Amino acid sequence: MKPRLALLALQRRRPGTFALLMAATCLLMLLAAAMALALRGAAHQVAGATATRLLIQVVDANPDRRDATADEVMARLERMPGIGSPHRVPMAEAQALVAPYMDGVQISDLPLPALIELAGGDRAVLAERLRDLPRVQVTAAGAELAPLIRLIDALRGVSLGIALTAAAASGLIAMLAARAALALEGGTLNILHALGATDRQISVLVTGKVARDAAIGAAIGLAVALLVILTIAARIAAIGAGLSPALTVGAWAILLALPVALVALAVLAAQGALLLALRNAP
Amino acid sequence: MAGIVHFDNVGLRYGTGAETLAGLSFTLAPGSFHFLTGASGAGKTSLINLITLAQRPSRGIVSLFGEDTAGLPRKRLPALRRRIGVVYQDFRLIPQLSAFDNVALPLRISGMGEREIGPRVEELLDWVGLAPRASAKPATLSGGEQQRVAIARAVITHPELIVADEPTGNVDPDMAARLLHLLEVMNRQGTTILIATHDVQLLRQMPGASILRLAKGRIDDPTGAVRFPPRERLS
Repeated sequence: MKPRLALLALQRRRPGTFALLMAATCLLMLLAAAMALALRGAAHQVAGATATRLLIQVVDANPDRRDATADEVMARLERMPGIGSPHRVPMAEAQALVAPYMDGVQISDLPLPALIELAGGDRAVLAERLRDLPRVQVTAAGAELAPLIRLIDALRGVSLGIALTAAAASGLIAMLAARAALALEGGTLNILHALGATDRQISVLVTGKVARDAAIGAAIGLAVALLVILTIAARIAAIGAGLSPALTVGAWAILLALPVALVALAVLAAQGALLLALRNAP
Repeated sequence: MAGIVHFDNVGLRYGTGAETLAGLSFTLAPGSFHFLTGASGAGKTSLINLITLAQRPSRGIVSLFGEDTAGLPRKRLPALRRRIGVVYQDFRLIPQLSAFDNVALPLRISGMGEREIGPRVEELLDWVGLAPRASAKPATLSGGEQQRVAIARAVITHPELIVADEPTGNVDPDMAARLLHLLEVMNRQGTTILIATHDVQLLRQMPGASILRLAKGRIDDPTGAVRFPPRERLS
C-alpha cells in the first residue's frame, strides 16, 4: 500500500502527547547516559592516574633530622630496582599548597613533612625496605581513592539504570500508543482486513505514525539534552582544577546514536504490540 | 464437494445465546449466480460474514475455494479474502480517501503498480458514472454514489466470488439495472455471485439465478438450484 494515501485519520494528526512523552523519556535517557559515560571517563582518569602512584612522607618536627631522613630515603630509592623516578617535592611547593589555609600564620614555622612522589612501585615492599627509618610513611594514592572510585562506579550504575528505565518506558509508551491507534482506527483497519490486507501491512500503517511522532519526540529530547550537557561541560571546564572534558568522541557518538536506537525500539515495540493485538482479529 | 463456497452443517452462535445460524449445508458452484433473501434478522449478514471470513463458525465446516477455513493459518486468510469482492450494506468506504483511492485500495493492497492501477480505476469509475467525482471524499458523495464506489471497489480485482449485501438499495432503478448488468457480465466470465437483497425487481431481472432463503437461521432452497445446480452453470 502506498504510504502517501494517509489511510488513517490519526496519520493526519499533529504530533501530540506521544511525541512529548518520547521527548521527555529521550531527554532523561540522554542525560543519564551522558552522566554514565562521563563517570566512566572520570573513574578511568582517577584510577589511571593513581593506580601506581606512591607518596612517601617523612613526618618529623626537627627540620634537620627530617631532611636527613628524606635524603636517605632518596638515596635508597635510587638504588632500588623497579622504582620509577622518585620526585622530592620542594618544601616551597608544599608550603605553597598549605598557605591558603593558614591565614596569618608564618608557614616556615610549620613542621611540614618532607614529601617524595613515586610513579611506580609496590607499597608493601617499599614500606618493608624503609622500615628501619623512623617517621617514614608510605601511602598508595590509589588505595586512598578506592572509596571514591567505588562511589563513581555506583553512581555510574544508577545512571545506567535510569537510562535503561527511560528506554523501557519509551517502549511501553509506544506500545500503548499503538494499541490506542488500533482502538481509534478499528473501523478502517477492519475494512483493510476485509479487503485482504495482511497484519503486517496494517501494522506498518500504524507504526509509520508512531515512528514519525517518536522521531519528532527524540529530536526534541536530543536538542534539550545537548543544551544541558554542553552547559554543564562549559561549567566544568570553567572550574579548571585539572578537570578535563570527560566525554570522549566515542561517548558523543554513543549519545547521538541513542535517540535513533530509541526510535527503533519504539517502532519495534509498537509493531510487536500491534501484531499481537491483530492476532485476535477475525 | 468442490465449490467456491461449501458449508457443511455450519452453526454460528454469538456468546452463549441461541444459534443465529444452524445446520447450514450448501455449495455455491463456480460461476453460479445466487440471491440470498430472508426477513430482517434471518441471519443474512451473519452468513455473509462467514463467507467473507469476517467471522468463524461455532461449528461445522466452511470451505472457500476448496480449503477448509477452520484449519487455515491466520497468515493465509488475506490471500483468500483477496479472491472475494464484498459490497457492504453500509458501504464501509474509508473516509480519508477519495472515490478513486477507495476503488484503488484492493489493487494497492495486492501490490499492483500505480501505472496499472490508474487506467483500471478510471475505467470502472466511468462505468459506474462517477468519473467526474473521482477526487471526491465519501462524505461529499450521495448514498447512491457511495454505493457505486463500494461496488466498483468490490469488482476492481475481478474476484472469483462477489458477495453483495443490498447492493442496489440506494440507487435508482436505471443504475440498479446497470449494476446488475455489470455483475451479470462478470458472472458470465466465471465469477460466482451472491447477492443479499429484499428487492423483488432485482430477483425478476435474473430469472436464471438460484435463490437461497434464510428463515430463522436455517436455509431454504425453493428453486433447488443450490442442491441441484443447473448443468450449464457447472460447465
